[in-house]
Amino acid sequence: MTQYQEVSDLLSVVNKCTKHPLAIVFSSYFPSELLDSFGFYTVTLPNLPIVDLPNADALLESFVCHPVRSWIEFLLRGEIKPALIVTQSGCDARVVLCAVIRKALDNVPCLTLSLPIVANEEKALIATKYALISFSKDVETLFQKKLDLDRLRDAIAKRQEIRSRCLNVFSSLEEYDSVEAYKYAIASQILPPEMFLEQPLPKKTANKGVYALLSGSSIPSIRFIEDIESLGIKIVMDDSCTGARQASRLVEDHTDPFYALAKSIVFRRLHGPTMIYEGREADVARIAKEKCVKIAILSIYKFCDPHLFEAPRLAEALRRASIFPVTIEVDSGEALLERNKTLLQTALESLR
Amino acid sequence: MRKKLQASKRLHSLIRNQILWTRFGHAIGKKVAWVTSGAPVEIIIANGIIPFYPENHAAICAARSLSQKLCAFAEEKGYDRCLCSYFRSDYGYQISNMSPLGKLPKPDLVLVCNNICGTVQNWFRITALHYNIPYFFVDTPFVDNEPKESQIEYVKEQLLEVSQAVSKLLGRTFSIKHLRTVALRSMKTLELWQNILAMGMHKPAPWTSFDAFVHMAPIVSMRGTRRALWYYQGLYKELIERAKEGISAIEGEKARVVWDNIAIWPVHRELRRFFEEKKVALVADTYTGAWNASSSLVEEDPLLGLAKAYLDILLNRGIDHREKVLLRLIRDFSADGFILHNNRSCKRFSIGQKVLREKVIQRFGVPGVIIEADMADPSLVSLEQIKQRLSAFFEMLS
Repeated sequence: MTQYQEVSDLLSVVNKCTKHPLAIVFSSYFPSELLDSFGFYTVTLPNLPIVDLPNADALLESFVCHPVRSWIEFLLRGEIKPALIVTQSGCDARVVLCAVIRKALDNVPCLTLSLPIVANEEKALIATKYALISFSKDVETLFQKKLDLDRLRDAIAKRQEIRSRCLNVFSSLEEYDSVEAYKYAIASQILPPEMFLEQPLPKKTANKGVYALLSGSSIPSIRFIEDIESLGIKIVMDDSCTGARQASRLVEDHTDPFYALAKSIVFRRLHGPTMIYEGREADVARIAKEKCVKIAILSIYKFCDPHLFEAPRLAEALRRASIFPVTIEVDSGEALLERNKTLLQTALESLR
Repeated sequence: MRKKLQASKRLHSLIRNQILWTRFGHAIGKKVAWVTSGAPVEIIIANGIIPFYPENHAAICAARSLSQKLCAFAEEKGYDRCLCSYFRSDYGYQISNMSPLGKLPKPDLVLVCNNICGTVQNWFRITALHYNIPYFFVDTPFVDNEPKESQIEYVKEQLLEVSQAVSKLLGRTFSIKHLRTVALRSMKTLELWQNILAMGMHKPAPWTSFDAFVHMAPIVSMRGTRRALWYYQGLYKELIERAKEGISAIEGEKARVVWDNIAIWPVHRELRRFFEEKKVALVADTYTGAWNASSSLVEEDPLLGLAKAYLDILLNRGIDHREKVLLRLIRDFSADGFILHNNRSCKRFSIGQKVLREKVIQRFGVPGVIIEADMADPSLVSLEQIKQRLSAFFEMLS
């Protein structure tokens, strides 16, 4: 299996796949199958544990979260050659990214997919469908390429198979090696679909450690997971953009592939906090309870508003479910910071 | 000595009455709605509900030096300092009931629209949960280039649904006729407000954005009402007179600049004095003219007109559009330079300003400066640093 551990690994994977033009996507919520069907090799960037960000800092304000700044830095280093860059609305930082990219890389086209943020509503579904159609028309115009609906259906089927495999792993995370599981999830967003489908499932391991929920945006790094588990914690439930959230998007069979894609976005089984969805905190707490979670790690990037807003209420919902919430702030560092280690160790001690 | 606007007195009594109206709304059988500044308040006004603007309230708290205390209450409850200071101030108020306006009534509902930022949807949800009241939300997808038909249709459908739901909450039947009347008045007031803002084009400028920041209160919180229209008719007349008589807001105006972003409320007065001392007129800004009104469209189809107006808010558009707006302001108001307030609290307004500055300088050759501050949290504002930076900038302009 692809051992994504560092940026250099990601680079080597991406640079090896030269058969198709590269499309870089800045959101794990984006339906990659749309770009696959145009013949792109679609890579959804994970958080990149880059510490020095001189290029990004020259363009972006200091109060932009690390994932966004690391993506910009990665692109500006020029070590990969994308044919297209795609951003998606969702938070205040991401909506302006396209303009920043256009300014920095004027030879690479950049498109934004702008979607409604209301979950589980028919009106939002229809608006999402039209946003997807409009986006694919933009791609058609930009690359003088007609969308082939059969290819789209095929791409949808492949990506669904990928997400189903990931979801199976993340639904029974207690049986798997968490590090392997997160590598698997990241690989699902980096590797070309055919290559990923040839990958073996992550290793299964015996359960050990205090059962935990990991909630937050994309995970900072694989090392971060290793560090958490080295403290005697076993992540059995995931509520992150890297893992279960992106994997939980289910595209059903439908004669209209755009409708099916839109439905998978608006009626997702596990929404993140960027969506207007009333029961999220209670849902997360309920599932965590069912999974016998004892400790919940709310991993939040500095300046990530959606998660910062949610954290106090989510923590409260978890407390009500007798789960110990620990909010840790993560920034650029690849590893789990010492202060966060101390917080987690203290939480573990108080559980004993 | 700056000649004060006569309208200021009327503004104070208008606001005082609005506050009284809000405070005693329940006593006279009215409902009170907490509304975001970019929300379609016409729905609220058409239903006879009193709107209250937590953003305005937070700005008042900042100007009266209460924000730091209020923000601390919110931070104690786990809300990070990185979050919007308007939100932290308002949530601090919700917990403590501390306000320079006295005791305010509990809201009966909230009306939210995410066309100004992603913060408000979370902020007002927290408010709705805190007071256990209904949450009405209008989703306006971000517009990267131009608004698309499907986006307009989506917003229009929601406006109808929210209008019906609000009427139902009051036990009334939704009346499109009534909404049209209010929306039309609102758009006419907005058009008048645009004319008022355009008065800054005169040389010397009869008023500045420091005035506009204050006199925008009715356009935010009373648009759609007769009193707002009446107030702005008077203000417009006065500004025309001032322009005719050559009365300048800045005595001996030496330079003219444009402002991007929200005002720095904790040091608003001090900054105003500083600009006066330096004889620099802040002739236009991107904050006070954020709305795009069309009364003719509203007359034809009020829901469509409102949908277009509220989708097309400046902050719901991409940087490329904001670049065009800034360029237009610099050109039309004969500005010598521009100031970008990099506002820690308002990510939607501030992220991308570095790029915006470079683009405008490249395209127009007009100098621009970025100053770092915050709209409400005084702990993130250093007046001395701002003055130093602006002094150097003004020196360059002269």
